[in-house]
Amino acid sequence: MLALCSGDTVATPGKMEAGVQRGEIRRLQWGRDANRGATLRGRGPANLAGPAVRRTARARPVAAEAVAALDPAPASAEEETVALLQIAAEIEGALMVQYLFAAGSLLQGVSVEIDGFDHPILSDDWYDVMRTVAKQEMGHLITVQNLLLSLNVQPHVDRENMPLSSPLYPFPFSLQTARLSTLAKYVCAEAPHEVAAADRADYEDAVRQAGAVVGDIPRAGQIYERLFWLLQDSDEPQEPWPDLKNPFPDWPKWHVDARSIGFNQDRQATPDEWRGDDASAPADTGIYVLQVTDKASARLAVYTIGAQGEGPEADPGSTHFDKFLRLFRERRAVDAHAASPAFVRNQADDPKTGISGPATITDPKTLAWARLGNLRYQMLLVDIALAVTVGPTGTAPSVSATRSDFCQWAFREMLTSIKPLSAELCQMPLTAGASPTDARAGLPYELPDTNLPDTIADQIQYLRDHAASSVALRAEITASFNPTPKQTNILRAIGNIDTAIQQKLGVGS
Amino acid sequence: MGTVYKIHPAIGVARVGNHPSAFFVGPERVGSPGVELVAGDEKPIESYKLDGQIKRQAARFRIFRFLQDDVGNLQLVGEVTADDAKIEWKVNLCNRKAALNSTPAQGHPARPRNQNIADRNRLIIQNPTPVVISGKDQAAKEFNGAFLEKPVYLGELRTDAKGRLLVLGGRGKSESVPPGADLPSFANNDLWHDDVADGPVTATVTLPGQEPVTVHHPSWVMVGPPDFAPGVHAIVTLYDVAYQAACDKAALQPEAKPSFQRHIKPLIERAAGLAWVSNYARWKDLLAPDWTKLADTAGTSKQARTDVAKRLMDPGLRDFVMPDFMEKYLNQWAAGDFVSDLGAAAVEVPVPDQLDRAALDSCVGNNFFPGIEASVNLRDKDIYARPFRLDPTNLAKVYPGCLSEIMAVPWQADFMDCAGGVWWPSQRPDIAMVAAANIPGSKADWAEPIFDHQGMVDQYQQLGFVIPSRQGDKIVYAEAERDPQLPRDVPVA
Repeated sequence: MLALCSGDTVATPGKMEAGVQRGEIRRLQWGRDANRGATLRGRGPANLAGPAVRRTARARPVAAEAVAALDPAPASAEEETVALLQIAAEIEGALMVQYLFAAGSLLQGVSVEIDGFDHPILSDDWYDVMRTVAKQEMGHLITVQNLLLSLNVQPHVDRENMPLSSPLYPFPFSLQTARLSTLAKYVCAEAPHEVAAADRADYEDAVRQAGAVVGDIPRAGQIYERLFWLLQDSDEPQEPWPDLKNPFPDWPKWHVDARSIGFNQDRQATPDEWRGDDASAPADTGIYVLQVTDKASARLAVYTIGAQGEGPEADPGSTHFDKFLRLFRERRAVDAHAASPAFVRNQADDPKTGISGPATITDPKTLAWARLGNLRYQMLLVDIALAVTVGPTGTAPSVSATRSDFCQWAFREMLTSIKPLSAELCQMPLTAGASPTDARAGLPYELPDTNLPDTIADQIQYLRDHAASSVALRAEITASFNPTPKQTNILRAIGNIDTAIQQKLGVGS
Repeated sequence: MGTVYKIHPAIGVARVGNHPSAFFVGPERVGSPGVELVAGDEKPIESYKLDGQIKRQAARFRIFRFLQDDVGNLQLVGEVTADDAKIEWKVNLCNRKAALNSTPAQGHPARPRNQNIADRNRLIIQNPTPVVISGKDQAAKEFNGAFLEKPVYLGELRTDAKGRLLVLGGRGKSESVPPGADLPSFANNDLWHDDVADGPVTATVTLPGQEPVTVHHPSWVMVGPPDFAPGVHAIVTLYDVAYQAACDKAALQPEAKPSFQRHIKPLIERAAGLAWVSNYARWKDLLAPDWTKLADTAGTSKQARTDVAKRLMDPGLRDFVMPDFMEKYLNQWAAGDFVSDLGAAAVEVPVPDQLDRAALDSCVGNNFFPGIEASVNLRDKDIYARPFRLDPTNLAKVYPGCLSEIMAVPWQADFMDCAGGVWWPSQRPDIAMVAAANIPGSKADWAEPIFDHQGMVDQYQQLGFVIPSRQGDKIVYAEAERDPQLPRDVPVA
């Protein structure tokens, strides 16, 4: 059964829950399969950095896998919807940082002309594409939070290490450079239900390339397909996805009750807050932040996210699948071209700050900066959660910070700390005593062993404590590691965020 | 026939800069970067900084005399200068950003500001009276206002050797009162102010022995941030926005068929320019396209025309809006319904119209969130009395400070966050080629190592300008005049 937090009530399928008032957010903490992922979240199994591991191929689950796919099994369409949305949030969050890491591994300004391409192949183009897709995944993550809020469930921004045995998660979480097999994984994860004939051969090549490393990759899109199906009023197809096929036909044939959706409209993220777009924006460039008022708008939100990823009826070239397939083709050509320069720097996969292994950061300066990067990433996730939990005019309890503050801090983390930190860490050596040609590190995007806090009070304390840790770490870096002028500016920008947090939330331990 | 005096440009554009005295006159002809006034002479500008400080861009205004017939048609007679008459200019600059009380439009990021300050006049920066100036080569007459009782210099008026008006804006100084207030938002920061502004420009003309005549068609001046890529234009400029507003008002009508030379080629060139400041990969091929093919109405060129038209209509910029007339022109061009006049001699354009166009063409009109020089209100046909000319009698929408009040406060915060190359890279570059001889290998982050709003407030003036230079037989755009005290780290190979 659901592992509910104390004081919460269980939703009765098809009925308004007794004891849960409109606007009161339930905390449904989905029970975790003990076999899911490694013990340290964000840290993949060590063997991912080594020889390829063959996984069992399961592209389409059969009835028996309904239990394995969602454990514990949901008792209602609503519960299944919530479970899938939480998984979707984890996948969006995980893909986003993996795309950012891969983009960061690219060398700037590299180009090569190869026969068969009517344009030069440019590393900067790949960088722009991957960062754009990552930003769009952020929009998806925020929209999924709105869907959860509309179902009267609290936001879910945590990032579980992708379990190896579920038919829902595309592949195990792993920060990898932008090499062919990595791009192949992304192609497979973003693949549509039916790949166009013109793309078929290259798609199958991507499947082979990815399969050699991680085995078969379930499409992330099928989660949205199943979500749309759950949000239909009946088994009959509905607009805007009239040709949708239920990806899991052997799963329960139930649908979300209309009375179960539409909650917390005043708390949902808005396109204005997140500098995002509504559903009318083009899929190529739009960063969708969609609000949910009822089942119809929920279906539109799910469809729009799905369309941007895999592309029912989107403009050719505009979907994530199209973009990654193009990069895959170009990468493959670059690898095959004898005179190609290096597109990717010598950078470690899955850099770690704590576990001893092939990619553990041992250079002291790099380690300090990597810890700072981890702090800021964790703070970003909590800022997002608070921004969509606190009401539009209310403040968080006992502090003067408002929803707008948390939203702005999230942007400052993305733009003025994580982005420049990532760029710096891609230049820093992984190991102590490394030569200039030895492997670089990269931002580890690590999460702590425990779950991120899920109450407002705990989240606020988390930010206080992290800001305090950041103050100390910045002082250590300044005192011990002789920051360059650029690094000094980064530290100062981060310091401005810490100051703002401490002014509004108080000083942590 | 009656005499009508008009001031041109209808909307002039000045830009802030931190040099105490050096300035140049902004573009007055399409393709011109502007001129510097040196010992009575006018020379094309060659550098945007002096002693490491940014020169301000002055907006220069001139008066033209027209003859109006019985049905209202105007015939240009010529410019009226201080050689011909006594001209008394009057300007009323105002910055009321901090006193904004409403959200201008759905989706616009400006929000009511400083709501806890009851006396809104304390937030409005304005000289106590409009500033007046007359004569040739007049020394500066300043605009001095206050923000929460702190004095703020907002600009000055001067005149040139012919008595034409020169409007200079502030020195790009943004502060909070009291100092040290946080800068969390890209658009709305309470207790902060900057020193851009806008307001009406009018004049009286007194011919010898005659009574003073107030100009019949006054102008407007807006002061914006520096244009750090002055040779790169937005795909959609403020001229296009104002032109569309004039069409909406039925005051202008698009041509029946677009001219390739006058309408389409410039659009392609503007998009190509983004290669230097935004996305080199995306736009590089348009730097030297097959013009002959693109200018051909033949069906064999249709696919090429269609592909380029699509790219211009969807250039990958956020919130991009292309005016209807431009879309119509591009669709006609793609379909082969256009005048194939590649290489045709330039059509003679009267000087007043050149002034109007050059000023607004240097401003970005792609997208308004909120924008760089001005914002969504320029799309509103109701603010115009005539094409490109604001209506000062529309007091509800046109008043001193009406254009700048919905822009970000301070502008540097928005400038910082407009990274990514998808907002206004033609004014605020995302990338810059650091070495003109190494394209695209020298591509670098233009704003590095500035990472946050406060950093941009403190250091924007140290950033470089992206300007054209000749490399062999090509024109390339590379960074110049960046402060060496603002170094970028050398990337590891």
